[in-house]
Amino acid sequence: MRPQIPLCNSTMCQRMCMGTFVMALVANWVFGCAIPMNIVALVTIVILGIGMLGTMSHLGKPGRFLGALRNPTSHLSLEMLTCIPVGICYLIIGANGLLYTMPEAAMTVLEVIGLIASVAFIWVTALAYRMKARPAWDNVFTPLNFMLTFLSGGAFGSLFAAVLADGAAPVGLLVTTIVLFVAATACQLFFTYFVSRVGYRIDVAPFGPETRGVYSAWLILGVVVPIIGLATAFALVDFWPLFAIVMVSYAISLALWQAFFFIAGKEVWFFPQYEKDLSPAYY
Amino acid sequence: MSYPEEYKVPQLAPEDYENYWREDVQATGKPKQYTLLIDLDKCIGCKACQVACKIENDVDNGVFWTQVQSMGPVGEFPNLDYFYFPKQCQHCADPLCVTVCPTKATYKTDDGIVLVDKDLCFGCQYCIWACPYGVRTKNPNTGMVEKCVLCAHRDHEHGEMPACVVSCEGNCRYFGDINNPNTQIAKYYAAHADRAMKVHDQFGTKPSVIYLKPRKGASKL
Repeated sequence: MRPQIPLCNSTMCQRMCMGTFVMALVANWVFGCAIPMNIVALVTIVILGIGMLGTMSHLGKPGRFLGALRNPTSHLSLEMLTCIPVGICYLIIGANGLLYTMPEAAMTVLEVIGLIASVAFIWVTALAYRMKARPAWDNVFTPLNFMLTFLSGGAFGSLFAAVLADGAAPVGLLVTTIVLFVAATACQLFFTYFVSRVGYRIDVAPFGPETRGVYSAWLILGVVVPIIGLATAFALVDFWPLFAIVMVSYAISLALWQAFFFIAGKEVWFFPQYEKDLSPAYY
Repeated sequence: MSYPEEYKVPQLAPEDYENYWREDVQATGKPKQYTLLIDLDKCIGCKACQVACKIENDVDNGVFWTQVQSMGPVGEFPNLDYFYFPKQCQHCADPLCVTVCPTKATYKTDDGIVLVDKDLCFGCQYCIWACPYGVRTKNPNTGMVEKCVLCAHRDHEHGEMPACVVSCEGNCRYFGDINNPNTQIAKYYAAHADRAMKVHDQFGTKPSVIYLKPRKGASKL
């Protein structure tokens, strides 16, 4: 199917920002960073809001947006439902230190709720794409890709935040980022292999005419640049422009990857044993 | 590359064909399942059904609720395959579009017809993605999703047929309640059940529309 540009944009915003929130918490709790979570939450809300506006722009009747809460069997409804605790947590955490000062214990509880809600949101978003009509999406790589790119993107974001907050990126966080990045990239490459052999006459060659540009751009921005960045990061742990460049590059690559994901999500042919597709003739 | 085997007519015993369709649709518990039976042996590709549907339902330009597509010619003379395939909503017994619709705009009536409530649809197109048959369209003018409604506004109870059935020049379309063995559609199905074919049955949607394979021109079906 055609890449849904507003959804590519909102996916990028969700994975980078919510991922940064989750991984910043991990950085603070595990690696002793002092990333200000209120700033992270505020930035996340603003960028998520931009993403949400993009999502609404692809609706035919955006004014009926709240109607999406009606059907709990629909993963889109579940997305909306999980969005509510995410938004509430981020708002309360974001206002802490600006409008009021909450006790540390209460903040920790809110952060944990925010973490769980963020993971739940990304999970139901991934499940929304698992539909039998599009065999390239109906496999384990879809939720794995969503979760791993969410964590990997967040790791890059938290690295940048840690350098800004503490002056240097902790080695433990660097190693974690490398592990998550390798896992996410491996999963994306497995998905690439899978969609090139999915059958039903809807195989997608990554360097074929319809995906060559998007896939090549993803390889450069999402694989090559992060590899170079992570390789030099150990020597430049306090050089924030490096981490900024890698983070932005990875963020853009998420949108490109989502575009490739959409193109790969072709509908099955009516009769794949024939060489003419009777599927949608009008779009 | 492997193709699904489900397009082959199942090797059932003759006494099992009669229930082949009804078991699926009766499992939904709906009292009726109005549906279509399309005998591909008789479709001549005139597209009268396509035009009649447009007129009857005032369908917008660029939007199609039913389409007749041609498959072929494929193969080498003299072994050529060529048939016409009328395509519209399959009014599935277990429709994926109903499951995924976040606003519950898409719903299945007690008559078995799948409809879209235009007061609720907000045009997210999720149902279009989920439908394995590609029979739903987003109307660019209204921003909402549209599809075949089996002319639900007509009085089916008293024998009024959908416009596509009435206009069919080849008499290939039959309409009625498949659950009722006394209807014309049920009797025609029983008489030709060995050619009955479900499309993409492997996705579990239980399509209610019955296609009868053409005797010639579709050797791979």
